[in-house]
Amino acid sequence: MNLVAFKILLHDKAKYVALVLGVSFATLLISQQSAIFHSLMHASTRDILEANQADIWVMKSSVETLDQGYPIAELSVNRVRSIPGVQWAVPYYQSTAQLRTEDGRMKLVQLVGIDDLSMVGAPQEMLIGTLDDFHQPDAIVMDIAGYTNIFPGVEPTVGAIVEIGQRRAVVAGICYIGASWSGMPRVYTRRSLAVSMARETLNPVTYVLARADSKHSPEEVAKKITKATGLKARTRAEFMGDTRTWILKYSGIAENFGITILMGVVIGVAIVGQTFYMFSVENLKQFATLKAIGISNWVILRMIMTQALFVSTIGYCLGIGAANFFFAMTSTQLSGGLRGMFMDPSIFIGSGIFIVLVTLLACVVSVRKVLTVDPAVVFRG
Amino acid sequence: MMLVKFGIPLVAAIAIGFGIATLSHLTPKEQLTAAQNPPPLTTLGANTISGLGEVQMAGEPIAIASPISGVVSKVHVIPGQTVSAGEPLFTLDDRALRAELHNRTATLATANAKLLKLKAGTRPEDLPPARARMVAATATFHRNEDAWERAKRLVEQRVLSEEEHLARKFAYDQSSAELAQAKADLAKLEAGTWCHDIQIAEHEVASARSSVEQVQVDLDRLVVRAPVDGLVLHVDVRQGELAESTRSENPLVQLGVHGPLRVRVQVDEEDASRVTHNARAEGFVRGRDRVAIDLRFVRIDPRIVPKKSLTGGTTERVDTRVLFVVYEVVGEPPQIYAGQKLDVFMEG
Repeated sequence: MNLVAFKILLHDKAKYVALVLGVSFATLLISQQSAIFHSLMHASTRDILEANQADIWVMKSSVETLDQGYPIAELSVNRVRSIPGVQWAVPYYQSTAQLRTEDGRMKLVQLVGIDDLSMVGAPQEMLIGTLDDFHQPDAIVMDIAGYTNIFPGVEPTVGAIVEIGQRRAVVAGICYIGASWSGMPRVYTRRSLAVSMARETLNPVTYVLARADSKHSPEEVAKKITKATGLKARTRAEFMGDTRTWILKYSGIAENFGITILMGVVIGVAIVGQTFYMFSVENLKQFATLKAIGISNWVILRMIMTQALFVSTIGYCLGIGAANFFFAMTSTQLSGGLRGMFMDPSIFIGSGIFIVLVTLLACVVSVRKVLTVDPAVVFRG
Repeated sequence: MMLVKFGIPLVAAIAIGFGIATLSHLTPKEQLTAAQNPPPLTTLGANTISGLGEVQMAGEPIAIASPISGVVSKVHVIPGQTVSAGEPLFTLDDRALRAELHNRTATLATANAKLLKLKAGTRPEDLPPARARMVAATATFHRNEDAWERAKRLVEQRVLSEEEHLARKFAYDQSSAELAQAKADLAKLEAGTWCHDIQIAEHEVASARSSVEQVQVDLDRLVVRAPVDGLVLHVDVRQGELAESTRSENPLVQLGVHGPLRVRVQVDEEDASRVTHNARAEGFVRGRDRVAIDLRFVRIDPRIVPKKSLTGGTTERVDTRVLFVVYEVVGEPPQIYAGQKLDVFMEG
């Protein structure tokens, strides 16, 4: 009987193609939007991701999100080091600063000051130069997207001289950093230099990054640090969660993407439901004939389900393929707002399950007529 | 028909294949990595207090000041030089005081000469004229005495007029007084200088001498000397610059006392209660080769002081205070300098 079902399905090529395209479009919309949403949430914790040597972040207790670090005393680093279970702790500085090019253009940049010696928090992917170049005088490392933003049309290269906070800075390296929440160009430098570039008169620390030793879990050590120092200590995962929660709470991004994804679902359901409905209405006579020759409703339903499953699978494959093609094209660019965006495997699989279920549901609703059709229709002519 | 029948599933298969292939490729790998050059690990055990240390010379560094403001004419030392107590460090311009010294020395010489002259007494050449004056006065006296005696007899004989008699008497009185004066003058010359005059002259000499000495002391103060044996840590003065006596920060010359280096460790006041006497400690130089340095306990400063380097943020507690614990560097580890920062771990 399944063969008959396929024959019916493939009989009208235009409808078949419309069905497949409808499903694939819905899949594309849902999976791509979900993936971008997920990637944005991922990108909002960019600094935590880059500093993948540390599993504990220590901050002022009023800090709610990554980009909003308040200065703490330099001696806090030593206090964190005193806690049993801490393998090492290093300072980390983060601020925004005004960058001025030699021809006088101004740009606000995200300044990251990494510990001069341990290099914890340094960019993981250097495109030009190495981490040793951080030790050159007045050296900064800029991300390639920021570089093309600041020097449009210039082939990325080291040696450009800029002014940050009225201090000379030399581009000593260029790195790749995925998209971040703020989207500002990123400038990495030694903490000692960053502090003077941010025109801080004293010697502040924004975060203390620490690593728990092998005998203690990060959660346990973070609790100990909070208790002993009065500072807020969060594990890497907890701090990522805090940052994402804060963004979801204070920006409309969740609603925004939610609406788009919902639209994808509605459009998908509408196209699939409508086409299946038309499809079954047009093939009503065939189904009636089948019923007339004694085929049960259950078998007919199974035939339609098979059709729907086939269409949704094909549609899903095309849609998810297109979505991944989109990411393969956009996210592998070194600069550009979608760099580093990716489709999470859970979205990849989840959107498939979702779209198949939705399609099945839509066709079941739309083929009620077939199940209730009177076989006598065939003879009415 | 064939195209639709097999083409679409084929394209779908390719699409999903592409999707799966890029999926693993594009998804970022999430894993912790080791820090490239992590800060040192202490060997002291689990319960430690960590603080920020600064290496200093034995004892506190001595900030040398200038006693008077003036232009520097010569700097005698360079940083790193060993000096002994009393050795000159720098000299201020002394031309004005030298001129003053010449002036006062001359005044002293004058006073001395005056005293010598007084002590020498009467000039010998003054005596003969005085004596001659007395002889002459004696002769005049005798002549007038004789004339008057004669007149006394002649007036009784009424040979001489009363007027002539009186004239001779007055001439006699005058020459008698003149003789007395000549005698007194001679006696004064023969007696020599009065002792009180000599005393006054002696005091004048003493006063002139002390005024010379005062200028000499002032001159000596223009040469700034090392108060103790030590090492010149820093020289912030050059020939021709003005050395101000009121300058308090950035001392002109900084001296350190020789001896084992010391480390002053800042400990947050909240950890202060955990600091114990004689706790073992080790320090790590900030740098690429972080060797551990053994430290020996010296003392805990009895005062908690406000921390100098605050972060300046709006939410900063300004009353952050630190306790200073002083340690001594054991042995003579190489490449340790005064002023260097150390990460110090103490047993707590």
